[in-house]
Amino acid sequence: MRTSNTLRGLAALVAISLPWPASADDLTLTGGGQRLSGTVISISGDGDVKLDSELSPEPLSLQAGAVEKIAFSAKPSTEEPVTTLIELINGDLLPAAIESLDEGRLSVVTPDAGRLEIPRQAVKSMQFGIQRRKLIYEGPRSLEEWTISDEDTKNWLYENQSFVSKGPSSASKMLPLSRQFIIRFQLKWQSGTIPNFLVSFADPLDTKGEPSNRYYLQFGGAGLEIKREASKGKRYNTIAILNRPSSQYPDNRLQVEIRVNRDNARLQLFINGEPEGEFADPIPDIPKGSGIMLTFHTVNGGGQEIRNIEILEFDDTRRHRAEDRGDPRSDSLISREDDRWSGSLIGIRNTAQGALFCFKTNFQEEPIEIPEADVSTVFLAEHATAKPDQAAHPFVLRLLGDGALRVSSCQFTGDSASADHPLLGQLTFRRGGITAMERITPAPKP
Amino acid sequence: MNKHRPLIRSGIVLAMLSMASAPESHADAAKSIVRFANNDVLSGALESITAERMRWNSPLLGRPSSFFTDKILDISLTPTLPEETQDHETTVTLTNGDTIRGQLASVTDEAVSLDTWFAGRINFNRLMVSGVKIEQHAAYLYRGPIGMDGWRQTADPPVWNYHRAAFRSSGSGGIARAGVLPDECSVTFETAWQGDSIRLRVIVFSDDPTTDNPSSGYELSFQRGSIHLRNSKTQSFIGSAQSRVLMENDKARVEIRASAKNNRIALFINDQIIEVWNDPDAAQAQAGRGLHFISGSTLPLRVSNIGVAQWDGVLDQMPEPQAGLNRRFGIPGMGMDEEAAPASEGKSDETRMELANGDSLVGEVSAIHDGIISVKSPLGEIKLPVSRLRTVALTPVEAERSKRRNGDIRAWFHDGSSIVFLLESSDMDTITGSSQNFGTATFKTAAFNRIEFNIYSPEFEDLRRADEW
Repeated sequence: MRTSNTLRGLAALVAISLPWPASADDLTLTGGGQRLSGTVISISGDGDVKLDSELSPEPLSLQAGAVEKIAFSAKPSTEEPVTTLIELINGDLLPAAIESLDEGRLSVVTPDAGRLEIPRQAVKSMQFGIQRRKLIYEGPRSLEEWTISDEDTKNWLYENQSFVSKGPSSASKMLPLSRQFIIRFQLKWQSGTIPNFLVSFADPLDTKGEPSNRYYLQFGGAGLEIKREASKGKRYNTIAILNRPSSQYPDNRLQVEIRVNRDNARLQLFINGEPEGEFADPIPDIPKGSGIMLTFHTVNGGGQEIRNIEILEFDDTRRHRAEDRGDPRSDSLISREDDRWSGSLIGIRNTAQGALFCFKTNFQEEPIEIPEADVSTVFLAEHATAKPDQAAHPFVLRLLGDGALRVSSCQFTGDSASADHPLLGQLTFRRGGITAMERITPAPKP
Repeated sequence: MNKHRPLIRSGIVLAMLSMASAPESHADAAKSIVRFANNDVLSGALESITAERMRWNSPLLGRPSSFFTDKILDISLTPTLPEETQDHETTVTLTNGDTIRGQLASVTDEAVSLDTWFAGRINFNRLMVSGVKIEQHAAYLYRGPIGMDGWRQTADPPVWNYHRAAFRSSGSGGIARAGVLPDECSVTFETAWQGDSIRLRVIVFSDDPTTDNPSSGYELSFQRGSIHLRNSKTQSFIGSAQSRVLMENDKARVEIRASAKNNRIALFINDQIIEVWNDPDAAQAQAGRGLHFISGSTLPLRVSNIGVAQWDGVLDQMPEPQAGLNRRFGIPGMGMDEEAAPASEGKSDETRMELANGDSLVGEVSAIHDGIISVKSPLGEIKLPVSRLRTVALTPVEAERSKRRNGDIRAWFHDGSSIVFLLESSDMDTITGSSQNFGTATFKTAAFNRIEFNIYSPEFEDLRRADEW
């Protein structure tokens, strides 16, 4: 592990002149409809952003609270994408290739931050054989790209990359959905109002009102439910239910991710990044549709919105992350054939044929050796290590390959970016490996 | 932005970078918006601008910051309109298409001079003036819109928004303003529409701005080429008329002169009188003070340059006689010639001036003083108020067009007129510019609602055109 540095103050984040990059970062600003683009030079712990813009002869300084979102102009590495995702005890995710593991350390090579030594106690799990997910749809980008009836048009607004519903409204879109796909979106509703969203997927978008085979998520004041509508037999069937009232979601917003595997009729649900479980669809005749439909029962004059809709191909190689890991005092290993062992992962070593896992189960005298190609997921035993103070690390750096690291601040210098991580210490990234930076705790008052 | 299109965008849902402290007050305080050619947008206040740099003060930025002028598409401003005291307004049209309004100060062989509230006296080179037109009106009681303040929407959710000095509708519904009309008033506005026809209702003398169906007033319904008038209280049909302008165009300038005293309504379209109606149920009419614009279409409709002025109840002209059935019952296809053959057509010549009542006068302007114009005519010198003229005859010249120069900007007034000049300098309240049209002038920034930059760049013009609707 690299030496951990103390938090860097604003004074340390002095703007450094940069060569103009090949692409620009997009900043969505507060205040409605405002945006700037350019190259982010630095983001301080207070949220001050320095931006090099082609519009201005000097770097622009944006005050804390002025920026809602930064989408970086990420550029993938030319190297082979890594297929392992390491989950740290604070929930952070790091895409990396495993070099070795012993009692105390995990050695990895990351595509964008080089070689890292990670204390074993800081690692929660490792997922192997992960494939890069192909993006099927990202939006919304405009009302025009969705099918909206004339009657509903007046109730939809497109603002700040989101659909805002001002009254009862629906919109649909047909997409080239694969058999296995992931749908992600963020819902937001007005403070003091009761949300009423319905998002259907794998929807054939048949005649309105007629029974059809499809899934839908329904979210209201009492909670959330995933339902299966069937064209034959019992029409509406509950697949998953979360009795968590809407008032319990901070900032009146909800992040949803549903992983749909139509080959084995199973769905995984993630709410605000946390797994809620895997659920089986008990109804035969799995939905074959490729449509998405938004149906918002918004009261007239109210405001419900959906943004950051993403549809990705789902390879299902991460299916075990959502599972119950078993006894947290021991290590667990799940193979790609769904075999499960509890015991102790003695080590991982590199061989000419790839990484070899040495695992001692609770039921065998001799450890067994398993090639990485056969391993799906490893959970490492939990220790009494104190988790880092999340409040001191208000930002999340999003990395290519589904990485997400919490940091206190970030400096950008030429083609590299540096940040201080509570578990990994000082990190230096290839700038093109960062896709976004977002604040996950409220900014200080300007 | 296009130049720097990112190779990959985040494939991850993004939460807000800032949440609790999202400075709503920033947006409230900022009245101006600058748009750049790369689609970047920033609100704030214009501090100064030159041909090279603009200084912009945004609440989101830590301090006032400089931007390159050659990257700016336009700046939207919130104009401040002065109290109107004049009974007429002169519009000078220049050979480059610019139009400027003010009080006619003088007309000579060398120059046409306007007194303006925003730049003092401006002397326009006679060779570059293509027309002078005078409009008579009482002092404006309302001019706008300059925002949504004071207006109330009737649809839920609202369908009207304010953008570029105009109200724009995105669906069926109304926008209304209470207490804006006197007993006898002239309501002028410009309207434009998408689709194959206009669908607009205008209600005057309403007593309830919260509904599209108030229980008092008169409702003019514009649909395709027809206009229907009804009493809002009794719902009785009063009359109808036809307009070829509405049928053949996608925009029009409308004037409604209405009297709650004698229950008379007169309609003008593109300055031509269309019809005059008298309400036979006058005793049942109740006069409110409200004005409504109601879109009847889901297609966008625009209303701009709204003016309300006192009317003296007197009409200087009447519509051409029409077939009785058409006047009474509004049979389509009949009585549509009033716009095709203006009264003055065929009798104007280069020295003939039109008067507001339709009369005309041949002569040459010798002096203008205190609103009185002296005309040397074959009958001797005639003095009359400038407000009684509709056009001013200019000495024939070989017209010239001002040169286009790098650094020219186009400044738009709230009433839809605009002027092009070379940006010389500016401070927080004024912009100084020059042009072959008028030499050098210093304009109050508060007169403009939008300033466009890089106006001869086809790429920039395409971007601006895309934002028209």
